[in-house]
Amino acid sequence: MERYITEEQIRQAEEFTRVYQSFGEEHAAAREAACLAAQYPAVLLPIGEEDLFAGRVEYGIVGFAPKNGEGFGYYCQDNRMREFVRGEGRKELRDRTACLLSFWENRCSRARTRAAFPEDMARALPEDNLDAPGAAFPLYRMAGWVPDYRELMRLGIPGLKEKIRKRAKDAQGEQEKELFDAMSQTLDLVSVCAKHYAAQIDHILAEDEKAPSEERRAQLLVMRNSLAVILERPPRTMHEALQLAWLYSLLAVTMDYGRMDDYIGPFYTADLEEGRIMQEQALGLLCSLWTLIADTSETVHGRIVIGGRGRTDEAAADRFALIAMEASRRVRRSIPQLSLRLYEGCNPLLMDKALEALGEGRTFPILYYDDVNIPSVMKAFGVEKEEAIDYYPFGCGEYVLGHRSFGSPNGLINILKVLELALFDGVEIISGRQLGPRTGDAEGFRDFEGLYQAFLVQCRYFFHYLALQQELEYRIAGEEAAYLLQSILYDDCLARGRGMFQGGVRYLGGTVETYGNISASDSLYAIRRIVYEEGMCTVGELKEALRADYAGYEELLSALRRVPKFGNDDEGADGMAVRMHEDICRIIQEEGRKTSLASYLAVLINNDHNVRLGRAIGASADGRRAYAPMSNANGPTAGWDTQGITALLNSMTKLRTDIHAGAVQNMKFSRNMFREHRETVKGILETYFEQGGQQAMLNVVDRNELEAAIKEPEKYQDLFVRVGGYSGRFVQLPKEVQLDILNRTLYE
Amino acid sequence: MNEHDRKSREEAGDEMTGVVTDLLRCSLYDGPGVRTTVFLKGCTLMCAWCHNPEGIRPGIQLRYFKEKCTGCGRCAAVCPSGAHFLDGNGTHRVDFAACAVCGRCVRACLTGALVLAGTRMTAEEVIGQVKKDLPYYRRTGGGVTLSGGEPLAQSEFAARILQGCRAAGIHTAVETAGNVPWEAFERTLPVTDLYLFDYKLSSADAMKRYTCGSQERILKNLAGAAKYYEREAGSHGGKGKERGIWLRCPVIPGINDTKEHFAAIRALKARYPAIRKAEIMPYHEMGKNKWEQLGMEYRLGETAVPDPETVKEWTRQLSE
Repeated sequence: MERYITEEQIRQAEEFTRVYQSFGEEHAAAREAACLAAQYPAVLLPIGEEDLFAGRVEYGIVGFAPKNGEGFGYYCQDNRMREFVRGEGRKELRDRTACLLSFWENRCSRARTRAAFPEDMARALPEDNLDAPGAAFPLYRMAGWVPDYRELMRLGIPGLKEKIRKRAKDAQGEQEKELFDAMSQTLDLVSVCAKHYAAQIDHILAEDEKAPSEERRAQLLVMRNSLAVILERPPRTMHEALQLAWLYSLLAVTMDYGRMDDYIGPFYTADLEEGRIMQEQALGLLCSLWTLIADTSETVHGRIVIGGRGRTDEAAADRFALIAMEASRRVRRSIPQLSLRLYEGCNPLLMDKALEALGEGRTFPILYYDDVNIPSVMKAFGVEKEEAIDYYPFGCGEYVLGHRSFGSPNGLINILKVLELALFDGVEIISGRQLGPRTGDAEGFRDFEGLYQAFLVQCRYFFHYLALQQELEYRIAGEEAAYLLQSILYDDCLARGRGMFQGGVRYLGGTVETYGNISASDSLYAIRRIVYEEGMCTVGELKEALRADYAGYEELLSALRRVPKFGNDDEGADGMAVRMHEDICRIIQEEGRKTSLASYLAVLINNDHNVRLGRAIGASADGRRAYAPMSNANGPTAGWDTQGITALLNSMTKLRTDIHAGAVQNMKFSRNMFREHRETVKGILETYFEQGGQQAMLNVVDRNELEAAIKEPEKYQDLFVRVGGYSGRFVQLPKEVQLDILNRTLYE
Repeated sequence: MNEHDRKSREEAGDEMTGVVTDLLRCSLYDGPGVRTTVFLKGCTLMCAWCHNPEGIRPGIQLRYFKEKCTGCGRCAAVCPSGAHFLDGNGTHRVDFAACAVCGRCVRACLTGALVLAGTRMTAEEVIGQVKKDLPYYRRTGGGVTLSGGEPLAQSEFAARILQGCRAAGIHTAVETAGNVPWEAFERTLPVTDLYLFDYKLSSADAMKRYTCGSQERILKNLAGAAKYYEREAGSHGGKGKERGIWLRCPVIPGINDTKEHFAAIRALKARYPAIRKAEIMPYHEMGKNKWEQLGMEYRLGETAVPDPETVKEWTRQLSE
C-alpha cells in the first residue's frame, strides 16, 4: 500500500469527515449515502493506459467500505496516518492528518467495536496484534460479500432503481423510507461514476496532440459505449456486462467476484455466436480485468469461481470457464484466485485445462468438488440443496451461500496454543500470563481423557467469546450503516426493508479461523502414546521439556517424533485428528447456537498464519521446536507426510467436511510427475474427490527449483506458489514461509 | 503385532510371513497406474549396478546414515556385540560383520542415523496395506507390484500376497529377474497379471561376471511365463487390465549397451507375443551410497551416468 499521504487525499478525507459530521446517528442510511458521495468519484483513479475497462481506485485514508486493511465500515487507516504524522512531510499536512486521526481513531467502526467489548470478552480477547502472544484474536471486517451479479446483469442500474422505487411505495415508517431513498441515491452515484469515466474518455479522445493510436481509440470507444449503457439499460454484450460488474464491484468494495462463468458466460457465447467478438478478443478483455483485480484487491481475496452445479446455462458457462483458465495462465499474478468447481459428469475439458495450467506451475485454478461440498454445506449451514448449490469459497476459502448468507471470518484461534494452556492450567509459556481458564494442574489428570477434556474446556472458553464478539461486530456494523451498495444486491434486504446487518441478510452467520489444528492433534496423540500408554515420562517431565524447548530432553524429543503423524494414513494419528476436528467443530457450532448467528462454523484455511502464529509459541509435544511453523490448514506439518500422496489424501478424507465452512489442502507435486503421468495424476485427483476430498490446492514445482529460487531470487521472479489461502510470488515471501513451503513433501 | 506373536502364529500355520524392505505407496514407475510396490528382501543375484542393495541379503540388516550421525556414542553404549565404536578421530565406525541385528542401537539413536533395513510382516498385513489405495488403483488401472530383491525368492509368501490382492480385485504385478526355480513361477503365474521381467544381459559369461546368475535358467523361465500367457490369453485378470510381460532392461554403459544386446531384446519381443513391451532403465548412481550405508562394497566404480541423448539412442535401437 502507498504509505505517503497526498494533500488531495487529506482534502478528500476532510470532506468525507465533514459530511459524516453533518448527520446524527439516527440517520445512518442517509449519512452513508452522503458519505459515499463524498468518497466517489473522488477516490477513483484515471483509466490505465492499457485498461480495457474503466475503473481504478485508491481508497481514501478514511472512508466507508465493508473491509479496508484492518478496518471495516467507517474505517481509518490509523497506522498509515500515524506514520505520516510522525514523518518528515509538510508540517501543515501532518497537522491536518493528526486532526483527522484524532477524530477517527476512536470513532471508526473497528474502534467502536473494540470499545463495546464487555469486560469478560476483553479478558478472553485482550490483543488485536496477531504477532503478539495469545490464543484467540478478534478480526475486524465484513469480509466475503459478493453481490447478486445475475440480478445486476438482469436489471442494470436503471432496473434496480425502478425495483427500489416500487418497493419504496410500501415503505413502513420513516426509517424504511430513508433506507430506500439512500439506496436510490447510491445507485445514482454509480451512474455519476460511469459519467465521470465517460467524460475522462471524451477528454482523452478530444486531446489532439496526444492522440492515441487507432487501436486504443477503438478500445476507448468501446468503454465509452459500455459506460453510457450503464445509465440507460441492462448490459447486452460481454464488455457491457463486465464493465458494469467491475464498476459496481469497485464502488461496493467487493473483493470476491462470485460465479463469473454463470453471469458472464451467456454474454460471451451470444457475442461469439452473433459475431461481435472473437475468442482471442474476449481473452484480451479477461486478461485486462484480471490485471485490474490484481491491482485492486487484497491478496487474500480476489476469488473468481467457475464451474459447478446449478449454473443457468451450463454450456455457455463452461465456454467462459475455459477462457477464464487461459486468462489466468497468461496473467501471472497472485490474484484473481480462480477456483474451479468440479462434479461428476462435468465437462472433461475443464479438468484437462486446469491440469494443463497447473502442470506449468500456475497455482490456479484451485479445485473444489461439488459432490462433496454441496451435501456438506447443506449439513453445516442447515439449508436445502437449492441454496447449498450456490455455495462458493471467498477469501482464503470460507464458504458462503451466494448473496444469501454472510459469514465473515471475524475471529482467529491458535489451537496448538490452546493445548498448551490445557497443559499449563491456562498459563501461556512464553508470556507467563493466565490466558485461559484454570482447568487444573495437568499432573493431576488421571489419564489422557483428563487432559483432553481440559483442552476442550479451554477451546470452549475462547469459542464462546469469539462467537459473542462476532455477533457484537455485526451489531455495531448494523447500528452504524445500512451497507447500501451491498444490501441492494443481497437477498431479502429489499423485501425486509433492512440493511444487511440490520436484519436484512437471510442467514447472518460467522466463521472462525482455526490454526495449528494438526499440530495440536499430533501433539495429543504423541502425549497419549508416550506419556499415558508407554509411560516414558510423566506429564510434569513433558512440561519441563516443552519449557526447555527440549534442551536436555533429546531422547524424549526423538521418541515423540517417532510417534506416527497425521498425513500418513496411520489409524492412530489420523484417528486423533478426526476426533479433535469433530470436537472443535462441534463446540464452535454449539457456542454459535447460544448467539443470534444463523451459523457459526470453523474454517481450516491458511494464509501464512501457521508460520506467523508459530513464531509466538514454544515447543509442542508433536516434536515441533519452539517458534517453528505449525501444520498448514487441514494438512500435515511440512515434510511429516512420508508415505506417498495417496496416504496423504486418505488421511485428509477422514476428516469430516460437513461440520465446517471450508478447509484447504495443499499438495506439492513435481513437474515431472505432471509431465509424464498426467493421466495418472488426473486419476489420483478424481479418486480423491470421489473418496470425499472437497478441495485441492496444487503446487507443481521442479525438484530443485525452490532451493534455487531462494539462492538466486532474481532468476525466479515468475515462480508462484500456493501459500495456503492465497498465492504468492515465491521470491517475495518471507524467508520462513519460503522454508515452510520448501519443506512440504514433494510428491513425484 | 510383535515379532514373537508373528512367529508363533506362523508356527501355528495361521499366517505366512516374509521380510519386507519397504512398502512404497503411489509408485508410478512399477507398472501401469497408481501402484503400491512391496519390496521383498533377499535376491538370487548380485548385480554390480544394483540400486536397491538393501534388498540383496535375505535377513534384516543394519543400515547407517553417516551424514545424520552426531557421534554421540549412545549406540556404542547399548550395543552388546561391539559393532559400534568411535575411532581415533572420534568418528563413528560400524563393524557390520559383528552386528547381531538386535535393534538396540536403532532405538537409542536420536537422529535416525541407524535404521534396520527389513521388517518381518505377515501376508495379511501386507495385503491390508495394499488395500488402502484400492480406489486409486481402480481409477488409474493400477495395483500392487512385488519387487525386491527378488520377490520370487520368497515365492510362497509372494503368492499368498498376490492371491489376497487378486481376491480383492487388485491388479497384480511381479518384478523379477527370473533367476529362480521354475516352481516359483508356477506358484505365482496363476495370480499374477503382469511380470516386469528384468532382462539384464545377453551372454551367459557376462551374466556370471556381473550378476552371478544363470542365463539359461532365466531364459527358460521367461519362455515358460510367456507361453503360459499365450495359452491363458484372456482367461484371467480384469477387463482392460494390462496382462503379460514387460521387459525391463537396465542398460549400463560399458557392460550391456551393445548392438548385440539390443538385438537380443528385439528378438525376444518378436518371438513371444506375451511380451507387450520392453523399456530401458538407464544406469543411475542413486544406489551407490546405499552400498556404503550397508557396509557393502560397490563394484561398479566410476561408471558414467548416460546423458539423455544416449538414452534416446538406446531407446531407438530397442525399437528398430
